[in-house]
Amino acid sequence: MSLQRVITGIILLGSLAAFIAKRDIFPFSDYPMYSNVFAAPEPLTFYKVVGTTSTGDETSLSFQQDLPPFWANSYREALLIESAPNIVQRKLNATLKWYNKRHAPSPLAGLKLYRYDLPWSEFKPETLTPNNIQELARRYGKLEAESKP
Amino acid sequence: MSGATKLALVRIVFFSVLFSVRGTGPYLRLWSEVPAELWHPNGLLTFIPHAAIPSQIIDWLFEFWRWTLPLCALGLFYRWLAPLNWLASFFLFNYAHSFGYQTHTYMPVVLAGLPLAFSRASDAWSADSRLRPAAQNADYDLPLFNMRLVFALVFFAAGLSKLRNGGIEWFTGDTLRNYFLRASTIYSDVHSTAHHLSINIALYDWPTVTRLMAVAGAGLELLAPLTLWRRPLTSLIVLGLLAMQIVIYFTVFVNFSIYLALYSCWLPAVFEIWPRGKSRD
Repeated sequence: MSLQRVITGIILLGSLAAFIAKRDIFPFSDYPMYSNVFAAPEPLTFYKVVGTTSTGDETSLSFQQDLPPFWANSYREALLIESAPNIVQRKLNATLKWYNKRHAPSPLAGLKLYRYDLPWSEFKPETLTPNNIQELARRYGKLEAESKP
Repeated sequence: MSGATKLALVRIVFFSVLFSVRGTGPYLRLWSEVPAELWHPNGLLTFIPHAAIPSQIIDWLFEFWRWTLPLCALGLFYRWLAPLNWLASFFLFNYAHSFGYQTHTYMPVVLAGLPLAFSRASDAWSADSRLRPAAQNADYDLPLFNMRLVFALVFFAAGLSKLRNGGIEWFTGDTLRNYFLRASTIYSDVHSTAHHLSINIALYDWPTVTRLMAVAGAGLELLAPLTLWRRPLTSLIVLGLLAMQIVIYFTVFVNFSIYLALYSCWLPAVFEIWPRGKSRD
């Protein structure tokens, strides 16, 4: 049997296994991105990580610039893949240390993870504008976890 | 166009795309700086603790990987370098997928690189072919078929997952329309060009159009296996999927540029379809 025939078998079996198992087995996957129904009455939940300064003020983070190779959504997924509070907090602590090592001249005092459970009535282009998003955050934001000094 | 030149064309484009998309920037190397607390291994790395992979190893592997990409594109010492390059890519991308975030855009490219790396893709249009004659009776078709098999299975699985996880409601409801709008919020820090055009916001006012887009997109994904057999449909489905991924970039803000390496396996089809190209065999 030629090597390429063996590779055909690997591709077929690996793809089938990942699909049946409904999980990623690198480099095989069932490619589930965007496959769930995302409409009312499903929950509408967002998360956001913000930094806090030594004066206690909150500051937005630009992950792609400040903590590559992450960008905002990839970091949120990495943070929440195991959602137990102690694990999330441990990850936030480690990220804070990592951030401050990279940005020694302007370190952060802490990191906070906010959760937003929005009603579907707020989910429309007129409401999700950059100006209004702060108001939505204030109204629906709930502190989910924060780093400990 | 002979089998050797078809595979050579794929080799040149595949490795050139990888080099230009991920070989010129530090993305893969930067994962070695991520704290161990975020380690969430996947695939074969499940069996290796984070501490057993020093960051220096990732740095060396990355440098080896990226500088052997152009050599593979040129077809220099291909039979030795391409398998080693593939092993390095397998490890580096697996490592990058071991911090809790799966991009899904790199997996098919790594997998499609396997048949190419272990093929005789340097028997034409290469430095190697200047140094030694091409092998007799070499199989150039099966590596190409295997790459196309990866292509077909990836899209088919994505279509099937929508049916399995979302059901008919995924197509008849507002799911795609809502994903379009959500992208503006959760992907606010990436792909500024796509944000600037705001096509996703404009489409929110056209729910019937977004439902038709959902049916057309998932339909194309489910038809992907036909590309392996039905020649007249192949170009339509492949071009349709390419168009779909361009639309996804402007509406859901997912960048599929590395998929161009995967699409390279269809380039020889241009010569298979055009009679002029065929007569040159």
